Formats: sequence, structure tokens, C-alpha cells
Amino acid sequence: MTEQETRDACSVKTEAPVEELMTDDAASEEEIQAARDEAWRTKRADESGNVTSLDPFVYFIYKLLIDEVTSGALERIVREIEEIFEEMAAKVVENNKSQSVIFTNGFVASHAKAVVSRLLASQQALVFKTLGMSTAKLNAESAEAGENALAVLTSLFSPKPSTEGKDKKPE
Amino acid sequence: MNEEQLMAGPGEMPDPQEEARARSEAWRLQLAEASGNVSSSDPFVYLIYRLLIEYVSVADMESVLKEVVETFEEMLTETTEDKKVRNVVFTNGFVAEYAKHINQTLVIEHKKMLMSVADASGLPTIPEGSRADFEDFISRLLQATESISKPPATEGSAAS
Repeated sequence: MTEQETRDACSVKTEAPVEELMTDDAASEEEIQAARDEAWRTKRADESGNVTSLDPFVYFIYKLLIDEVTSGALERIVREIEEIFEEMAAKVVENNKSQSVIFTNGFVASHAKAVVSRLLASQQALVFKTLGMSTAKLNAESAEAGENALAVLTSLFSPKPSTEGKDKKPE
Repeated sequence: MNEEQLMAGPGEMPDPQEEARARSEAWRLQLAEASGNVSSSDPFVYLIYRLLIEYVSVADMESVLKEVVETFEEMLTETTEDKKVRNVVFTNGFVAEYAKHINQTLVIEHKKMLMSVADASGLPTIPEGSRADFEDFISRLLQATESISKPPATEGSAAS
């Protein structure tokens, strides 16, 4: 798969470059515009170092920064998180008990948790797809090797431990 | 000092600022309780909560999330057995690097918290495969496959 084929998946995919479409009488205005947009995106991506990621959380933050929130606002929240979580981590060591933030608005917090769950589902789907690819490849070589590999690979992926505790720190 | 203590001080006028703070704290606790005392120790949940409270509408958040989920679903569909895992290439690499930095900061905070809990509970290590170091995890997964799929060295074969 070439780099061009893997370009930003949210972008409009075009079959032909702008020059070809410009000389093609059958090409619609929309097709030409889509090709121009894609060429522009490709150029910007090249200029900024062709940064890639396969983590949906990174893509989510990227989209927020591009469309929804200023870097200043995001930075303020991140700073707040660093302060709160450092304090909580210190309390865990001090009291030997896990800590968590209690949200003032539990309804919004539940929605925030649902958002994170959906992103985690995307991430885990990628893990299982990769596991599937790996075991399919190994199974094709040897059934026994495939079974052993599945055990090893599955052990690499285990759910994160729950850190929810009884002692909770108000927000 | 709680609201009651402030209101019934020993003959002194309570500080209006302190009183307002106590009222605000009491309101927060009441609302937290009324909404089910939802809690989390995941910095990413906290980030999204704060964004929803102050900066981004639910509808806008939903449209961003929809785009991310659909993009990754498309990536998975196009990732076939003979190809490597597909990457998203960002149009603006500078912003993408910043997004990675923010994600990494949140991952580190989460890891610190998990490590504190592991220390407190006596667990020897943090289990692998959590959101921390996701890209590293996938890369190790692929490397592990490669190494497992290599045939074992047979006795008497020439050392390379």
C-alpha cells in the first residue's frame, strides 16, 4: 500500500489527479473540486512531515484542535489534569487506596465515559484485527504454531485494571 | 469548614467569600449526588468532561466522534491479511504532533495513576495492553508475530 493510498481517511478519495480531470470533458465540477482539495491536503501533509497515527485517541484530539477548541483552552485543561492527577497519585501512595474524581455533573460525565468507551472500542477492534491477521498467518503455516501464537499474542493484550475505589476525591 | 459551620459562627460575621465558596461546594456535592456520584480515574474522561462542560457542544463532540469511529472502521475494512495495519496521515502534521503530545501527556498521567495503584495494591507490574503506549503495543504485537512465525533453529544447523 502506498503512502498516497493511506492518506487521511476522512478526505475525499479521487481516482485521477487534477490535471487529468481538467482535460476530461466528462469530469464534473464536483470531481475537479474534490481532486483539487485532495491535492491541497496531500501537499499540506507533505509539507508538515507526513505525520501518521493508528491511535483513534490521537485522531480525536487532532479533530478537536482543528475544528472545535483552541490550543489554549485544551492546554489549560491538560494542566488542570496534571495537577489533579498528581495530587491523586500522591494520595494513593499516602493512603494505600485508589482514588478517582467525582464529577459535579454525573450526567455529562457519563456521556464523557461513553465517548471514551467508543474510542476504546475502535482501538480494541484494531488490536483484534491485528491479532486476527497474525494468527491467520501463523495458522496457515502450522496449526500448532498458530495455537501457541494465539496464546502468546492474547496475553499481550489484557484489559486495564480498574482503579475505581471507595475513597474518592471530589472534583 | 462546611456551610452550617459558616452560618453558625461563634459570634463572628462569616467571610462572604468563604460563605460563597461553601455554598458552591455544597451545591457541587448535591449535584454530584443527584447525578449518581459518577467518578473516574481516567484523565481522558476528565478531558472530555471539561470540554463538554465549557467548550464543545454535545452535537459537535458527536460529529467529531462519528468521523473518528467511521475513519477507523474504514481503516479496519481496508486492512486485509496480506497488508499491514493502515495509518491515518494527517493533513496538518504540526497539529497532529501536538495532538500526539497531548495524548502522550494523558497516557503518562494515567500510567502514573495505575503505577500508584499497583504499588499500593502490591501488584508487581502494570498489565500490558491498556490505552498506554497503544502504538508501541501494536508494533510489538506485529514484531511478536514475526518472531513466533520464524522456524526454530534445528540441531546441527550452521550458526549464522
